[in-house]
Amino acid sequence: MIPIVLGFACDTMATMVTRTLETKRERVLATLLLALAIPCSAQLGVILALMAHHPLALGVWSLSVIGTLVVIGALGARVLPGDGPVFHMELPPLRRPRLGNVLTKTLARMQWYFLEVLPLFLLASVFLWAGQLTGLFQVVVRGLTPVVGALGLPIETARIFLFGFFRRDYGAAGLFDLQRQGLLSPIQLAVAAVTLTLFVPCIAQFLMMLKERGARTAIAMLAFITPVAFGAGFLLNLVLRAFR
Amino acid sequence: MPEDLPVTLLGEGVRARVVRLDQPGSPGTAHLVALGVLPGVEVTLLQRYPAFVMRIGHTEFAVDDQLARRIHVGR
Repeated sequence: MIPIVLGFACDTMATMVTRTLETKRERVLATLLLALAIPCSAQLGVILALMAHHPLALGVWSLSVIGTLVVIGALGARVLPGDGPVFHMELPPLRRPRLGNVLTKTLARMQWYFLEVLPLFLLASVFLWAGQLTGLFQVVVRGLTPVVGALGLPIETARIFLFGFFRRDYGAAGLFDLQRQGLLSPIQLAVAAVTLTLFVPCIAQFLMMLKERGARTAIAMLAFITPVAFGAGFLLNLVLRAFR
Repeated sequence: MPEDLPVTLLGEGVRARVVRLDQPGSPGTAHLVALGVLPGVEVTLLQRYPAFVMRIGHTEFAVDDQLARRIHVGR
């Protein structure tokens, strides 16, 4: 539960924190849900801003994402072998915190974050730069074009989805630009936001998944999340257009 | 008080002696033992909701009903 809540701040950090969970089953479930359905703060901010003038789209987005979280979580809990966790916790007496202790701890945590997480973000930026330089991205964007077409989205969003993988917030910010130029209808807005939220986390989080869960599990999750995200977007597009 | 009843049936603030633990050797019961829940010790039930909070000596801990039901108390 704690890692899931942390995910609303930073999914990468939260994925790292899943190591505190007791059983492998819990760690896998938490990692999957973080990667799939928990938007990080950067993403959440942009998505909320994006939909500020479209309360209906916002409602659709919330319902879709929460629905996915609940359904996949429940299914995952059934599919993965093992018993549900039991809750036990020692309750230390609560004392007034000492300023010195708080500062030391904050400092240590920040150091931890910068040493473990920041290099991944830097690496992601290097990938981004190399991808653009070599023209590899243009090829991938061309490959993605029919996919976003199937979701009823403008072609420009292909680029945003790709960039969103490298920097989740970047992807959402790209949508923001499209929206400002008036290129997105409310339906497209909802579809794009849902797909982007569900779609694979930023690359830093993916690298953290590799590190914490191992290559096999992380790649399996990637292979699961990609069709789920685009499938959800596809269905949502059909449903919304049918009911318009 | 009967000889043997689950601690979950006690009222808040009631003190009783642990007589036995269910499923000895299971991982869950091992956690209870690690917290100091052993036959013969006095346990006070402090709170029933949202989790069962108990005190043994100077240790306070919270467990869910699944684990709490494994603790049997008596005279």
